[in-house]
Amino acid sequence: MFAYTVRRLLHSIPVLILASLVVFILMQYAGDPLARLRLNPHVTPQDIERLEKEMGLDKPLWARYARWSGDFVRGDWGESMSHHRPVLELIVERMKNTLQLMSAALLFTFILAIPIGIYSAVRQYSKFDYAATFFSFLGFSMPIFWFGLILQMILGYYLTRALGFQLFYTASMYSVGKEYDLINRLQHLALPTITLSLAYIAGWSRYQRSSMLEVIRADYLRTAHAKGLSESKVILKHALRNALIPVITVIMLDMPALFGGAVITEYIFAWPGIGRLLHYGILNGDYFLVMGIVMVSAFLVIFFNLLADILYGFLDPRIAYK
Amino acid sequence: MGKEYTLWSMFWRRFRHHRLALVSLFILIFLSLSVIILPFVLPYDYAEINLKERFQPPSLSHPFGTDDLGRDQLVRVMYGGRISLAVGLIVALFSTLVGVVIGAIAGYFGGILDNILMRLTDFALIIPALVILMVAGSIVAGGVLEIILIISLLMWMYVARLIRGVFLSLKAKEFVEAARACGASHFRIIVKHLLPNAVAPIIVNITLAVGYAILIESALSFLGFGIQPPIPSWGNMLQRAQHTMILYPWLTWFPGAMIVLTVLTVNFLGDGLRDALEPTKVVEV
Repeated sequence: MFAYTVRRLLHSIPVLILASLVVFILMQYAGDPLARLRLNPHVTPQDIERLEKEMGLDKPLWARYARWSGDFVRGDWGESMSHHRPVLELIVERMKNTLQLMSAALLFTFILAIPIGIYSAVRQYSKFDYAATFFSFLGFSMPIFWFGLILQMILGYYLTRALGFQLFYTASMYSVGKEYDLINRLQHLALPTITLSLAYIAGWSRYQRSSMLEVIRADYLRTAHAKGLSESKVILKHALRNALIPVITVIMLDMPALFGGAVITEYIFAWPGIGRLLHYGILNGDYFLVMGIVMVSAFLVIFFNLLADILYGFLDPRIAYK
Repeated sequence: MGKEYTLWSMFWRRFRHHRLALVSLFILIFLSLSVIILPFVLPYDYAEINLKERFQPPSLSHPFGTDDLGRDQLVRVMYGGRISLAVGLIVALFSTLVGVVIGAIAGYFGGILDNILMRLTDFALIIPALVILMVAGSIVAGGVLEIILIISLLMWMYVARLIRGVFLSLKAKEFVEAARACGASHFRIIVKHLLPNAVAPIIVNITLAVGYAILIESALSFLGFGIQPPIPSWGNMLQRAQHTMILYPWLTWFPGAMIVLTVLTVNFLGDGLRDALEPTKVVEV
């Protein structure tokens, strides 16, 4: 298993290099990082020239890429031009918040989607099943940013007016001065989590349903029934374990999209995570920052792909990694 | 003699049974006609500013209300619908074309070519698409054609894998060998003999891709990296509306509801087409 993991990680190096190269080239066209300084009357052309030399902007593309990638692997991710702080430090700080949002959404989705999928499969063609089908289509078709805005409007604004107090907050991670208040944090976390989860509740419950339907007809389940096991034991112990395998893979493969969703969610809910940082970085042509975030998100995707394979082996002992 | 069934009538018979898909088809036709015709018929222009009529709630003269510049929202939503539907449709066709070409070459020729193309596909699948789209979108700065191009370049992978799979399983079959023995060129074998076997999944995929492309375009425009004002698209209308959402909620309701309605009906249509075109593949979903 260890050798397999190491080999998979080595295989991902070319992917990372290619991704970084593509974005590095793109960023050269994304705008001049010194645009603001050039407009500042107190900055002389000599200063600009000196800065360009310092940042290596006077060098050809390949030389800049070589310098950036060399520094990158040594842990120096450059300095953010808009935040005037080292990129790595900035990303680590914001990454925690993004991971918090993403794990909350993952947990919420998993808790809802799997039971919905199981129940839809066990009671196929029931009213519940049809309703779940319809709502999952609706979930697929919902633009995440609009859903977020609607939640802000209804649960954030109208509900507060009706109740007379604020149950859900619509911006940031906690109220000023209440950083260590768990309830306050949950009140802030609720709406972004629901927003980010919707599409995945729709998707994963469908996968869970169809993989459950396939397993339910298997011979070993008929045997389990014939042995006289209770319905719940057959479904939850015998069927679920096999039915979960394809679902886990789908979940892990959805991670890049979930990260994209987190970027949009953070933007709407003023969540101080890496997505907001990225949005800001792109608008300001802050290319060390953008490069750093692209690399981190690529790492994340590769990590989750690997995790999917390892979980796969754990859930299905028939699969052996060599 | 019994009634004669053509391919088309068999397809229609099966499609009709998917009630939601049928209803969706009619809604989509109605929507498409509306976005095409209404901007001509309505007495307003999408860019016509009328500061005396700012933030009017929905009324008879402005069924969808007006925005911060007094522009009629109905005509803007319809005009934005033209853009969003056109982007969705063209991206779906173009990305499918790219996927078919890559998948066909990889599956048919195999070997090193297959290896390279499949590594490329893996790569495109693993990169965080939205991040790349945001960077690329900020560079092209709102050109509709450029937006279509960059979204397409991140959506072809699924079709490519699908077509490659079909080609791999069929290329060793006798009918391909027969065609080759008759002296058919590679191009002819690919287009005339192999590709028709994948028509059904391709059509289903194009349909579903339309909905997906509309969602991506609107999200990108909402974030400010897609279609740029003054050209309205559902995404950038919502971008503008979010700041005054509480006071003037109709500006948020209508464009968003149009996205949901369009994408939902497209998805139902795709589901119906899948049932009707690939009856053997209906995995009770």
